[in-house]
This record gives sequence, C-alpha cells and structure tokens, in this order.
Amino acid sequence: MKVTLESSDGQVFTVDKEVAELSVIIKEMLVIEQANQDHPIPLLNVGAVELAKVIEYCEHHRNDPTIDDDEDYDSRKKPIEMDDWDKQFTIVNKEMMFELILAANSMQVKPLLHLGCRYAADIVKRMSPTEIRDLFQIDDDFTPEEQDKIEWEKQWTKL
Amino acid sequence: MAKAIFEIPEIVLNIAKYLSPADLAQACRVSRSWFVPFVSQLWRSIQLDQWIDGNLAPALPRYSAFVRELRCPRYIEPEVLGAQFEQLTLFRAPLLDNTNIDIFKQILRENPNINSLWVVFDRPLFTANERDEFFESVAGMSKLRSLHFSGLGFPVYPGELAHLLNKLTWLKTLVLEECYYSRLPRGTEPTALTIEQSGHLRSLSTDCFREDTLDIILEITQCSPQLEQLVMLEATVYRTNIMMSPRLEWFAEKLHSYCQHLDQLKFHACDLDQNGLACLLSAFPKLRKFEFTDCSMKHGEILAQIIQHESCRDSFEEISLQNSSSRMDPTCADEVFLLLRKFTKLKKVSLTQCKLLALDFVRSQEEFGYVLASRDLQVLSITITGPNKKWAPPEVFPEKYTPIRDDAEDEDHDLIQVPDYHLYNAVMEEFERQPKLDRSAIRFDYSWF
Repeated sequence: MKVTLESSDGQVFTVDKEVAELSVIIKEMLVIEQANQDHPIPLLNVGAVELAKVIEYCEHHRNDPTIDDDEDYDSRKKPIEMDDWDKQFTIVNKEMMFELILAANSMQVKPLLHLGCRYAADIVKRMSPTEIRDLFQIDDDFTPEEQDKIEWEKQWTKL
Repeated sequence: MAKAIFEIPEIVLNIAKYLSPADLAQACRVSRSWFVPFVSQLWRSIQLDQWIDGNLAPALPRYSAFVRELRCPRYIEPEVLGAQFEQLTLFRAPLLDNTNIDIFKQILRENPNINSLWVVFDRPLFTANERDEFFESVAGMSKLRSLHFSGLGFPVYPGELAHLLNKLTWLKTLVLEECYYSRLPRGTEPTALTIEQSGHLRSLSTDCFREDTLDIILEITQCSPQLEQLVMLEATVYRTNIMMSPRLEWFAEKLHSYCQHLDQLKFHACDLDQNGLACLLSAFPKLRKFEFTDCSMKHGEILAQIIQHESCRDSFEEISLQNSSSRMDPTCADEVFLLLRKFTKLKKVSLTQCKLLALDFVRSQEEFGYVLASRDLQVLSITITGPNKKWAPPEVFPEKYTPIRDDAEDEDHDLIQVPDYHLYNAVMEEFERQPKLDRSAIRFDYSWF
C-alpha cells in the first residue's frame, strides 16, 4: 500500500506505507485517518529537500526491528550500531544535518533522530564552552561568579 | 539555524546521552539554556571512581534531584547522603553503621523506584530490633530486581533471607558475599519455613559454599523455583571449597528438587575436585552455560566432566575456561575435540588457554568428516598451532612474530617456492562451513621447534 506525503513547500512524495510508518507521527495519523487517504498527509515543518532525505533513510531502514523505548538508546551502555550506509548518509554539511534532526524530531523518526543527535554530539565533543558559543552564536549569560562555581563543581569530571 | 536544535529540550537531552562527563561539564557552561539539560545528564549516574575528586561530594546535594544511579564508596560523610534524592533506580550504599542507617532507610522510603540495591554491613551494628527494621525497609522495595549483600561477617539467621525473598517477588538477581550463617540466637526455637509465594529469582551468586553455610543456599533456593543460574564467588576469608562429600551429595539432590530450571553454573576462584564437580553438575541436567575462572582443576579434567554429563548434550551452549596465569594448557586437546564433536548446540566456546594442533584438527576432520558439530557456533576462542611458521600466511600470526624474518637463506627459499598452505586451508575450510561463526577470536600459532 502506498501513502502520499506533502512537504511544507507543497511537493508530494509517494512511498510505501511501511516506509512512512517509521515516522511515529505518520503512523498515528494513518490510524486516525484510515478512511480518508485521498489527500496527501501534510508535513508543515518539513521542506522537500529534507523530506526526500528522510524518506531515503526510512527506505533503507524499513526492515529494522523497531525500538520503542527511549531508554534502549542509553548510549554509553549500548551504542546503537551505525552501519556503513549510515556513515555515508551523515556525510552532508552541518546545516543539512541539523535540518534533518529537526525533521526527524517533528516526524518522530526515532532512529534518525538518534543518528542525528550522535552527529551533533560529535561536533561539540572536546570543545570548550567558548568554542561552542562561537560556533552556534550563543551569548554567555552567566555571571563570572556563576561560571567559576560551575567550573569548580565539575572538577571531578576531568578524571 | 544550527542554534534551533539546541533550543528543543528533547533533542538536547538526546545529544547529551552521547557525551562523556568531561564533555557534559563543558557543555553545561555554555549558557543558561544549555545548563539544565547537560547538567542533568552529567549527574544522572555517579560512578565509584568519580568520588576520588573531593569536589563531587560537596556539589552533590545541589544536583541530587538529577541523580538516578548513585554508587557510593565505603566511607562517605553522612551529610552527603542526607541530600534529597527522589529518582534513584540504582543505589550502592556506603558501609552501613550507626551514623547512617537512618539516612539509608529514609533514602529507601523516598525512592520506591530503586531496582538495584547494594548494601555493605558493618559488623558491630544492629540490635535485634534494628535488624528487623533494616530487613523490613529492604523488603518494602517492591521494584527491586537486583540485590547485593556484602556481609563483612554479618550473621544471617535462618528464615531472614527467605522472608525477604517472599516479599521481593520481582527480585531476579541476588548476590550474597561474606555472610556467615548463624545458628539461631540462644533460647529461640527455629520456625519451620513457610513459603507464602514463590519468587522469581533467576540468579544467585554467593561465596557461602562451606559445610556450615550450605543451609543458606538451600534456604534461598527452596523459595526460588525459577532459579537458573548459580555463581560460586571467590571468598576472602575461607576459599570456596567444593569437594566430594556425603553432604555435597545431599546438597545437590536437594538443589535439584527445589530448582528444576537450573542451567547456568559459574565458578570464580574455587577449590574443586572432579567428583565434587560431577556431583554439582547432577543438579544441572540441562546445562546451558558453564564458566570457570581461576579454579584448582585442570581444563582437561573439567572438560572430561562436562563430556560425561550426557544429559546436557542437546542444551549446552556456552563454555568459558580461564586462568589468570594465562599459561597455555596443552593437555586438554583430546577433550576439546570431543566437546566440539559431541555437542550440537554450542554457540560460544572460549578456551583461550587451549591449544589444538592443526595436524590433529585435519586428522579429526578426515576420520569423522567434521570437527565442529554445531551449526550455531558464533564464537570460538582457541589457538591452532601448525608444525612450522610456513604452515599459514604470516599475517594470521600475532604481530610479535612477524619481524622475525631473519636469514637470507629463508628469503631465497620464498622466492623459489610459493607456499600453498594446504594445512591452513583445510582448517579454514571447516570454519568457513560455519554460517554464524565470527572467526576473529581464533588465534594461529606455530611450533618453535
């Protein structure tokens, strides 16, 4: 069975139902609107470029076992496996990847969301607070006293 | 744009899961909006070694609301524990004594979601009244799945553990260390054990394997019909000793009658003899996993006992034998071949100190048509030794050997003769027939003489 999806900029994509159902949101919509499938499902927060990429991801992972529980992703114990395809998939520019994280979040494609978050974590790894602020253009809104206190309290993490 | 993902708490929490404590500590200093999500992940799980830095303890009370897993060292100031914890799921308590027992009970009361608890007792603690209160507070933890008691000579009276198990019906794992069994206090009559409901205990680990403490194990197993795994731990005071005796025979018989599902047996640093092992195995007719670390038996003798234990032919899946001396044990090759040929359900075989000769391997192949009977084999950790260093391609040997390409005579030889590795190929052919086998754990070696 096929399902049609419409991106925020009006482009329509037709995919297999089981592929679209990797998105928790779409899966729920399909249950509710079972009778009414003449119209494409609108995805108001996802542009055509990102949607195409999300679909590409879902096509590749259509047969993966589903993981419902977020705790299963608790990374340091059990890192999710990233296969070669996933590694290739994440070779895009940062902006694209961040757009994909937002798309995965709004469509609730959990494995893609976690893949993206891992990518984002790799970017901030081993960066100082100043470097992170520069990269993402964030203002430091702590007072110097607060900064000192936090730094002192976190000494134990440097073991 | 990039900023946007860091403004959605769900996404930030997910990102935080992939960062180390040091990275989290940096990230939470970026800005106020970054602080809470990263700091909450940072304090989520406190490990033992993190207390070495003196700054952890004073800061803990400020962040206690985030802590889910709290592992304390033996000695910490009671004030540290006085903080408000509300979300604990794992609690490893410090050494319990008169100064902190009340705080301990309070933590248990306020954290009903604890599913893993580790308690170390101090010997002089506890009047009869305090004991009752202590056991009651542990028995009230209805979500407990894992409980670790370390006794330091704290006596356990008959009925106390059974009572606990009757209450903790979801407990799966129980570890009992250094609890010495005690006859009832003078003047008290022993009460017959009543089993109100049978527990779900699956795994029991203990060092209480001496004549006078076997009763504790029987008491626990009697109310744990679902028990699957028995682990004999290293004991600090007396070495765990499993030698054949009428009492051991009686014990194994009882054990089998209480627990019909036993299928995993593990030993760590125990003294055993062959008959003792055989006797204990009789309580595990459908043995599935067997582990043996630093014990006083030769690997060949252990394997011989397992092979003789015929009732487990169709259930046996995993075996691991190891000695920390890491010396090779060349004597058990015959038994290893028998094991591999007779047991058809083997999945993981870890015999890192066993050596098989490639020639014997091929001979066994020719004689029986195969070496490995199981089609489910996933891991085979073993060393295969050839007659000389030309028997297999040099890249399969451990790295330390490769630089030894010495004399010129050898070089000439190589030029003339392209080695065909027929022995190696014959061995590999057997492994390649295994659909699930990860060949990376197999080691190759050659004789030096």
